[in-house]
Amino acid sequence: MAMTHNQFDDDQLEHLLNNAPKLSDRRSKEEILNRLLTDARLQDNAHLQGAIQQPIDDEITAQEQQHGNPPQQESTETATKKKVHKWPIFMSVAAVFALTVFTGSTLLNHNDTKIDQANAPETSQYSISPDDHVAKSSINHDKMMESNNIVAEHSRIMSLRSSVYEEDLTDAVVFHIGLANRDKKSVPMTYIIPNERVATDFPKKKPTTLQMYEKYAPQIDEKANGFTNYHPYKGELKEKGDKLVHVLPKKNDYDVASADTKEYLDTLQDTFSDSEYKDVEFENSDGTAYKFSKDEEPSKSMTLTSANHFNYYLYKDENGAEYLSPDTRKTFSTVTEALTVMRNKNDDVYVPVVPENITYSVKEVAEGVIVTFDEPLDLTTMDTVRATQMIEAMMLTAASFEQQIRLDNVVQESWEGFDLKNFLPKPVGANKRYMP
Amino acid sequence: MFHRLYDAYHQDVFQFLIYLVKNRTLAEDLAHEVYVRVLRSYDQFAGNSSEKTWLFAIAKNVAIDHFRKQAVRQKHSLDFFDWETEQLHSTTPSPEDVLQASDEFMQVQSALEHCTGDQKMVIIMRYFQDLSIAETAQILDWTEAKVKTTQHRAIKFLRQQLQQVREQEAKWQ
Repeated sequence: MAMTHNQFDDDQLEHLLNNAPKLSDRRSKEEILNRLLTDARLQDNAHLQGAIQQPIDDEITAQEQQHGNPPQQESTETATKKKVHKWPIFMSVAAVFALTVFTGSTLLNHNDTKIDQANAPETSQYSISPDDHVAKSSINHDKMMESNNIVAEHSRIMSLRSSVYEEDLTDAVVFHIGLANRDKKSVPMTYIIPNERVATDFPKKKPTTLQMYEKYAPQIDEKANGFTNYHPYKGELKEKGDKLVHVLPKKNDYDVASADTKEYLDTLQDTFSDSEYKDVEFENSDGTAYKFSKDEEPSKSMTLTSANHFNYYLYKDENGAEYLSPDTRKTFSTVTEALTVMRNKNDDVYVPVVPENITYSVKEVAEGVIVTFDEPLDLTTMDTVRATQMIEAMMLTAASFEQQIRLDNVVQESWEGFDLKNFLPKPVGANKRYMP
Repeated sequence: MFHRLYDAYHQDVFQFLIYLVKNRTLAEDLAHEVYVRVLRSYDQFAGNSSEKTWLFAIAKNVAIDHFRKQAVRQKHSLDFFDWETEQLHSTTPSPEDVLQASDEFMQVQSALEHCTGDQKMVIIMRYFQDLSIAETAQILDWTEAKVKTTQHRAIKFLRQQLQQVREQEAKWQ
């Protein structure tokens, strides 16, 4: 329909809308299934297992019809089918990789070895030669590997998980740092740095935590990420045995008001508590103990390894970025108490991640801590981001007590790759970032 | 189950997603997310709606989650992202298939970007996907009256937008 310069009417518009070009997905069903099979969230998913089984069964049925298999072949086929049914999910990737060529060739080749050739002359014409088979399998395997890499990358980007886990660190290390925000609070961040990069930056010797701080803290653009420009610390940081010493400048921003000092100490905790240093001492340039203006006496050292147990809440910065962070640094003596009060709103900065209407009980057992929801919790009824944050905040809270957590009475058996049937992994740190 | 849903609705769901996000790779990613949610929650599907509307409702939620995350990345607060009133703005160019479409349809596509999220969603569902008012209402969890009103407003808005384009063109000639 040509558009004229007459009045544009509803009929013309409806015609255009009703004749929108058809856009189709050019991928095959097999490609889509392949990708689903490599998604950790669908591990052990019965429907997916059913989906990969069906084409194999269909293929076999089609072959049976096509070949007019003799009775003795049927029994072998049945045995093969039963064998296929028993494949665990980790074999599923291989199963789908086989769908195009492998199913036809392998099953028939398999039969070739078991069936008396003389009794099944027709079978050979459907068989693919071993060379073809190897070549095609090899091509498929390469494609599969390539596809897996792409899928892994997509999964990483699309994942709603925000914490760092051991599985993120197969070839990388973490760098913890407390970044200062507009509310004068420290937000614990966990940066992932590839081993290769650390090895290049420190070719001779494994770096100390202070060396890591001096190297990588300046590389973080705090301002661009919505934080205050805070690192590296002013003054001098140095190691003294198993202590860290901060020589503070005479005039510094860390000692203006009590909120500044608290912010400073919290950032130190978030940056160095998971390190080889037991304490941090505060000194003047002449080596005497620094006296914070809020204190009567010169400062004593601050313990970095003290077991400060927190529960985790949601912190949103002014740009809308969200972080899981300890709630006002309030400490708890038991994990039960810390988890139980996670629904309570205590101030305007930190938001509870557990909705008010979700109630639960907490039980401590030998393996860890178990949260049992009073009503079956269907995570799909929640916003997916919120549901994931709730789970991870509970995991981080338990991890703050060096405990792992299990969530009982959840409708879903897995969520964002977390196996909810079992104890969940202990996060290595909150708020995952990749070192720029 | 997967094969049945795929055979019956995959291309429709994919088209719905690609018209929303206007990027083939992204539509593929979102289609993957749709299947992940479908496979994980199929046991909870109560059959209160048809499988078709259930599937489209999941696709709609996946798309909204995408736009919400995009809004967060673009430094808008989550709290203030209301898909019905915000534009579901696709920053990427139209897929190559659409680029081969008529100039008039390109103008429609462009005008759609200026609609509110609820209007864009209704136009795509009602016209591009050929879903009935009842189906659209069920997917969006709205009343049929709201679908009709939103459709009416969307058509009016699109007509005005396209009329403006036409007048601009007339000026240049």
